[in-house]
Amino acid sequence: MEEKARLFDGTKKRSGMASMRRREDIQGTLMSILPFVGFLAFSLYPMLLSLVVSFHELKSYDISYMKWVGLENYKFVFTNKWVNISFKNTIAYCLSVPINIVVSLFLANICSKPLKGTSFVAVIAYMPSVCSTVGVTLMWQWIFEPNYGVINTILGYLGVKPINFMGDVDWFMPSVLTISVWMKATNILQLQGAMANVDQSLKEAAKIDGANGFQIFYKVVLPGISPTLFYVTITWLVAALQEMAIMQLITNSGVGPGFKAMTVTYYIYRMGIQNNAIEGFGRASALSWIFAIVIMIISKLLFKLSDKVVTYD
Amino acid sequence: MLNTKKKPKNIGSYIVMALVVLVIVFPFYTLIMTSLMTEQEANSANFRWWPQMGFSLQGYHDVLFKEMGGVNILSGFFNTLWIYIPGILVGLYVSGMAAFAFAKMRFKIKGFIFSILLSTMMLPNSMSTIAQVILYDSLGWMNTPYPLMIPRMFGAIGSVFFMRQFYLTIPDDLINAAKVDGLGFFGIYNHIILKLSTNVMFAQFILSFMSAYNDYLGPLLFCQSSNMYTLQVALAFFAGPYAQNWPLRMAGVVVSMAPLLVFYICSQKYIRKSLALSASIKG
Repeated sequence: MEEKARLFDGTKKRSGMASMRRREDIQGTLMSILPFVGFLAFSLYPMLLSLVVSFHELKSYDISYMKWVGLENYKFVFTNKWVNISFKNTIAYCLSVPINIVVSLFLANICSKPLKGTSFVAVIAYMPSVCSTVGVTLMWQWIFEPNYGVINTILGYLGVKPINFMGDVDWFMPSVLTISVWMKATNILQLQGAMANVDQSLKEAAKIDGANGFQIFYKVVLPGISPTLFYVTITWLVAALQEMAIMQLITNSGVGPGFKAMTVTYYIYRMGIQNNAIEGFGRASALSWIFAIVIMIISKLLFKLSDKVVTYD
Repeated sequence: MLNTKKKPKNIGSYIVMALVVLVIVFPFYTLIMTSLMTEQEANSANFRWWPQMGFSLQGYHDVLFKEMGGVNILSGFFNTLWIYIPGILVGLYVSGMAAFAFAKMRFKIKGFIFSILLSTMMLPNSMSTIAQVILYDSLGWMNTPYPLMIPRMFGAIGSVFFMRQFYLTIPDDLINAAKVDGLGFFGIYNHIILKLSTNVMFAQFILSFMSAYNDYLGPLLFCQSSNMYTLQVALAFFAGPYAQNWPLRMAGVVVSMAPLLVFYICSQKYIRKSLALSASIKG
């Protein structure tokens, strides 16, 4: 009797546990599913849609006008000279990444020194990161202004003829890179945080062993921050590959001198949106898929490389 | 001896620090000075370091109260607020809920969903933007605020990871005690976890709001009707026909930057801490 009761109790308890498990299973799924649904609807579905569109001609926003063209769009992408030019310009802009990394390492290193006033410098240095690309670019447009701008005024004091920074083929990209350094290399928060976590006793030990500042930085600090440095590099590179806003704003939505402002992302945008009636979504989608694959290969390679260079602890 | 050796080294650091501050502040200085000049003075032969014809608030007056090139910056500012904030708030609630489920609940497809969300962070978004235009057009969302609003309501993957990290530190006993009191997981999230996470949520809100406030390509692609212009698009198109009116354009830049900059400077300790925290978790 007693045993039976216990048995009964036990099964009841177990089935109670099981139903609780099931409830948790359903509740957990429901509570966590929305970000996943958002990804499916607003990222994955458009990605697949653009894959489908890339095999069609579509010169309207309405997919019912889609016309099968097979690999025609991909052939266009691989033979078109503008694609070639846009890739070259994108690579030229990606030069900003190593420059920005070096500058921000330098800045973060200064701000991590145990000196008075470094926290003030860090606060000031982060200010550009709070500003919008639009605002910063318009501001620099005025600084680079060919007739009345500050830089040309200063150059005038030195007897140098005014330079058309944004309109000259050779000066365009250096000007854009300057804006990029000012706006993006000053975002030193992550590197600074990583440097604060570097073991102080290691630095002290290196100092006692007679290492100079550069040696300490190279042998102790750099390996210590390498995971963060890698993360920053890859996110900046992926962002730089897809940059178009600075160049579009500085040229007032044009292609820039010598088509220097024509980056891959801008060319995709131009084909798909601005010149939709002539080029269409098909070509834009084909190029965007090729470009995405290039970006993913580059990040994959960087990850491979990081296994050799990055030291985790 | 030691002292003399140390001193010149620090002086070098201070010179570099002063240069850094100068390079950062100098553009802001030219920006503010120009915004306070008359149009005639800004377009005179050389850049004037100080307005010699007297300060003029004409630029600010036009920015705030006039439509220049069919656009008004102030209405752009209010558009930015009402278009983005609902999406961010709902999105934070949803992200937090998912983060809580990932941190504290057991369900079969948890590992699957979590690993997929993790892998999406590396996907370049240039792949989907073009087709998003087609998608939003087929939904009738083009030139409405919905493309900037609705996708945000499904939560942000970065916020999910950030808050999950925080929820992992909440002791299980707290949740078990609430279960004994008869609360379900949904109730636990609403009544207990949300209250505990006000700090984390606020940090995430600031981050999301800063990036939404400065978002340019989103509204440029999806929201092209001039009465819906967000602040950044309004700023970019503002004064198009008055391209040489630099005081006006610079006043627009000041007005658009000022809210976030003032907020940053006033609460920089808090903002930098939360930014660094979320950055370190993502890394």
